[in-house]
Amino acid sequence: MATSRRPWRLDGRLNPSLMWGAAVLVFMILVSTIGPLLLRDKWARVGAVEPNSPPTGQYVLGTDSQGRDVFTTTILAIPATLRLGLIAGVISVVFGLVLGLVAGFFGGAADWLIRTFSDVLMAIPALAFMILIVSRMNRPNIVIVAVIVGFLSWSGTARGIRAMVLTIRERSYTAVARANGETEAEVLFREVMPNLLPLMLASFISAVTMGIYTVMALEVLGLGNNAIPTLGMMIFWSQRFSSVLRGMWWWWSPPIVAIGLIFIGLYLLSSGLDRFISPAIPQFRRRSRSTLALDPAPVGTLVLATDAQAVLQVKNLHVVYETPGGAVRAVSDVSFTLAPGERMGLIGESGSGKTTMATAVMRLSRPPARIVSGQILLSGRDLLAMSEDELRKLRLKELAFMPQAAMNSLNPVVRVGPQIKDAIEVHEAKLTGQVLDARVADILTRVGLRPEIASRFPHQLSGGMKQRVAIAIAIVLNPKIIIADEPTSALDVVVQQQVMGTLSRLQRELGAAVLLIGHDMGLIAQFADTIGVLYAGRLVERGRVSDVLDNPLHPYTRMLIDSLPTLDAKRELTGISGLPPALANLPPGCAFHPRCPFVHDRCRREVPAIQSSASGRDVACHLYPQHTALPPIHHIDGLATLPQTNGAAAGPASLSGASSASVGAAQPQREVRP
Amino acid sequence: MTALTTSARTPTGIPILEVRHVSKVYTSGVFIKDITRAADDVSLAIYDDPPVITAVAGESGSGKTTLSLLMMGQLAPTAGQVLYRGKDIRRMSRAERKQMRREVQPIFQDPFSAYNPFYRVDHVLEMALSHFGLAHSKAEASTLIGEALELVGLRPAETLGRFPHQLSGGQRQRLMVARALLCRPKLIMADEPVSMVDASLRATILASLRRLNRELGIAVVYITHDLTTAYQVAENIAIMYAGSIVESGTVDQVIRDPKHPYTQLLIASIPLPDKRKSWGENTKESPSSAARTSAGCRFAPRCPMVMDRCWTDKPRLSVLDKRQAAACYLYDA
Amino acid sequence: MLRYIGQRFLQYLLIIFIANSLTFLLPRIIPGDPIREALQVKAAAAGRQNVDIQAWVAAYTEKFGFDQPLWKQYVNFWRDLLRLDFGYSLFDYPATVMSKISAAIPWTLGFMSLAIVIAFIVGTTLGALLGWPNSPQILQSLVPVLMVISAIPFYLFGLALIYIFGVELRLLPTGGGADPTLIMRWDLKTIGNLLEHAILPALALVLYGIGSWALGMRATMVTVLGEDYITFAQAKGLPDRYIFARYGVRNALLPQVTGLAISFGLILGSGVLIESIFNYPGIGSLIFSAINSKDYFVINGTVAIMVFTASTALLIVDILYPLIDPRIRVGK
Repeated sequence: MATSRRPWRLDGRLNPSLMWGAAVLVFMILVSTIGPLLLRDKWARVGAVEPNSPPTGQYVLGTDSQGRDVFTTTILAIPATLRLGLIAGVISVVFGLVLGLVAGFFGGAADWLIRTFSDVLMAIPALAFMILIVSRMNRPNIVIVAVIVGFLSWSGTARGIRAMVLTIRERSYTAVARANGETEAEVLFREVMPNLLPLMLASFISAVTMGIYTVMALEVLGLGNNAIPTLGMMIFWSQRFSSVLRGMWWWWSPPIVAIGLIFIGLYLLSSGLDRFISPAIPQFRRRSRSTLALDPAPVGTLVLATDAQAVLQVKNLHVVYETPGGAVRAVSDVSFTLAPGERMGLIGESGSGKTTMATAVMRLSRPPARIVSGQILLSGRDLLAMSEDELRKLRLKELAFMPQAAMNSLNPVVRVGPQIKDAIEVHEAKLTGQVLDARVADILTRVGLRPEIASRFPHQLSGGMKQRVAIAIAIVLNPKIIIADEPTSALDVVVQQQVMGTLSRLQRELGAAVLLIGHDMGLIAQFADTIGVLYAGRLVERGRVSDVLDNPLHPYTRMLIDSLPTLDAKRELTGISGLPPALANLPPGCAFHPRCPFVHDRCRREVPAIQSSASGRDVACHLYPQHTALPPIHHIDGLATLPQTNGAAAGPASLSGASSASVGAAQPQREVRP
Repeated sequence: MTALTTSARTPTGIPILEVRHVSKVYTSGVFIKDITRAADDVSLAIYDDPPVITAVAGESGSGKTTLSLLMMGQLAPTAGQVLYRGKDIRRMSRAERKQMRREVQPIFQDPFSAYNPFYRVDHVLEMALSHFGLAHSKAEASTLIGEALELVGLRPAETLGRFPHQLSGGQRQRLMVARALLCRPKLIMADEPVSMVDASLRATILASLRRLNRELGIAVVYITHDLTTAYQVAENIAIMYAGSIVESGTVDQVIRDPKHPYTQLLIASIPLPDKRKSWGENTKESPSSAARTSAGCRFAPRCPMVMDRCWTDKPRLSVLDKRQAAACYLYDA
Repeated sequence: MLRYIGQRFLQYLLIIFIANSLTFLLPRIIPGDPIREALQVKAAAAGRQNVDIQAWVAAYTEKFGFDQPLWKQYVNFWRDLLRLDFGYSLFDYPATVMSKISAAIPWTLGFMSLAIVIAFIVGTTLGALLGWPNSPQILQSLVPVLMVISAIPFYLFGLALIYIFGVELRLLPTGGGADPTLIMRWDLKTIGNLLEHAILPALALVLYGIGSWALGMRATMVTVLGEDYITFAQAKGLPDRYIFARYGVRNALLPQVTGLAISFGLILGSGVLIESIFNYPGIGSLIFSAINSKDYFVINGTVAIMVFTASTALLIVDILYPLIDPRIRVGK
């Protein structure tokens, strides 16, 4: 569904197809209106001039065999053709709109009736029927013909409208409208119809195109009206008098050019509208054949030592999104290390950049995302310095990916077995069919599925089963590290626990490291050994899970943990005030400062750098290293209070709470955890 | 037996909204009948004196959304009755229906699709007031809207006049609550109001629901799959599985001491943000294909304590004490 | 699945019934006497001035049963239809309509099928390549060309082609199905001659077809390549070319194939226009000349055949698609 409301803007730029199409059509319409006015006195009279004359100075496009000036005739024929197309188009669209609305909105018997009616009509070639009817008419009234064409071609519009109405009915806003007391009629006119406008416009253009096409076809076949010159009649006459064979190119080419322009204009307009109605999905990325060209690291970046033992080391990673308004920083200066067999969780909410992280580590970022600088070291080798080919060999064999709820990640028209096999074959060539089958059966059993699953299609499996297939593919080549991007977010809590249990067991057997990315703190807490907290594209805290949970250092982490409901006892619900970060519009200094209860001047100016402590904890906050732990947070009405204005100008020392206290200190209005 | 008799505080008067033995059965196919029981003999009563927050919890396919649609009168039951203030909704007059429409207000799960992208967000607020005749002048409307926004923690300057895509998910959801408020409801049916909202923003929305309940005396039905929020927000809870209520009672009782094997499984599967708490221990992995039993307890194929009887007769909800009821033969008297 | 096929087939029969009933009814509603009009044309063509039209018309009317009550005509109509008896050509009496149609159909089906298949293969391949971001940039410049080609009606192309190749360059014949002096035999000369005459009309069709198939395939490819399973396939380390073919093209072909089937259904309709331009002796020219000579039985018969082919094609598509798309074929 379109999110912006102006069709002539696409991604912030002018919609090219739409503009070009409109330009061409406006030109044709201008010709149609102004032309006849200017030529009124030079009306194409039969026999006015010598016939069959090629273009001369006076008769720019020559004359036809009736002695008519071709140029004048063409200019007069254009509006005639357009008018007929318009008549057919309007009737077709009005009919289609009404019937499509009725069918989609009211459903039931009306829907069935209209659909059958429309199917019958679609099966009858309109041209055939028009020939049948019009051939009986002597000197057919071409307007009537256009009307009949309109009546025969509403099915396409009706289908499209009906489909969209059905989609809109699914949306809650119609239910909200009813809850507001709107009657069905009001819902139809006030809620549904305005959203149909773009589709109606597109259908109109389609209908006009069809109308012009059909009427012209009839005229070319000799079923038009001799008295009215239209582009189709011009072609008919020129054929009648064998203009092609007689080499009178000036007679038959102008109408072709004119009709070509009309159709091209209509096509561009409609394709521009299509792109507005269903905005294009980000495309398959253009692969660079060579290594990634990165910008030099920004000044002042901490250069971290390379850990030879680490299986994955991300250093100062920067990823941006190229938008029309400029580059948006999605991931800023993220660094972390993963030891072999370690389980790390990366938690982030909306606007944290976690999904960008996941795809970036795999180097699967799609435009407009772009990795700008940094290093991603897999056992010491920099992924960002590798060619596409080298990367490809690494994928799955050393670096495996588990996508979000494998719903759409498996090819829907290929069976499960072949999808596992091709992964194996690509990396380990020369395996016989039997060996492959055995490997597939083996891996399926290891993830807790029956081997028969291999012959099923993805849509035949439940969500949990599909996720297990994804696990199977991820581990089948014993990778060193698995990147799991929200693998269970679409699963029920019971299934989630079972699937994660399987993953847990297998990971231990394989000794692979896991990077689990998600938004569920509970899930990460239970599964991971270490946790990293992402906020506005930066890693704000990192450390062992139990340490971070018991004693969160960053205010965001603290408030996030506080907001999690538990089953121990009923208590006041607390949250974080303010809005989630808008990556395109981050505040200066620390991105969290507008929502932080400990904000002071420095936070508003300077981005806090990550500081490591000896115990393996990292935190990016100006409270440190002066403090060793967070001061207590006071809550009013479920929200943390901001500090008083007097005394806030001084530094961290003015904040309440002694520096030595507060490892797990009791907060007012909060229960102490056992 | 219904959830009637198992609540924290004793209700008085007739329930504001009640379903009695409702079922919703879908059949498809002309020759080969395919039967889906979305709701199977469900009874639930919601009182507004005192107004309580009742949670209806279950996973996808449990029938909780179907139940909410049945309760709101959006779906016609294949069996059973839906009663509003004691009156069968099929027999209500037009005026009574309009009253119910206003007094029972929904909040939907998806904060994006709940808004018509064609209009600014004010549209949805203004429509509420004008259709129910709750404001007699523009000034009054403005005041009422301002009050409602404040109650949910939004600032008019930051939210009004914007298009839906210009607001965050949390803001949109809070605005939905404000809209519901404007109608002066007696009951709010909140269908997964926070599941598509960030964890750190959920609290504000849930806190507003609690405030509405405590300060304005509005009953709330909180439908969710997340037991932790249900525990924090609600007073009473009904756990649904495959179309039926399998356990009900006060939130404290059901969560601390779940009796039905499914509830136990559910609670054990919740990952709590504390490594010291167990996760999924003592749970049996469900078989990869559960046979569909048309008779008997629907949970039988997955139940670690299944008995012969469970396969043939479906257990009914039986009251265990003042605060808990379960549908399981383990507790049959 | 079987139930669906049965339902669809019944709908198909309904469509045929309604369409043919309309074919019967519509001409009879329109005022005027078709027989008289046809015979007038015939008389004028024969140059006879003072023929007794009245008697002639009366004789024909009685012969063709136009004087019988409408319901009886309707019954006769269906009886004849089921025996594929479309009556006699008014202009070329005693030639039957069926004989004229059967003479014309092979021409049309022959070159049209060839043209459609070639256009489909070339167009789809081109479209697939255009939808692949790793294809050479130069290909992308073809897109505007394709847009122009698919916007202009194909038969108008034909005019230009006749002019260029037939009149100016004198390379190919300007019309007709074969040399009028040719004796048809199964030899190279005949085939060569047939091909020579079929090239231009086929070319017009093929160019247009390539344009529209390519653009359609490109659009589908772009959508398919944006799907999550493509990312996952990349994550598995599958080579680009493999993903393009097995995951991209393969999935995008499904909707394209249904488009192809529909094209075949409309083969006769498209043929009408191109043949009238090229004077190619297929169904199209048949209709064209029948329109001119007001030979209604021929027109009715051809329309009936056109309706039949179109609805049968749609039926095949509706039955075929569920078979090739496993999401529908194999249930849960």
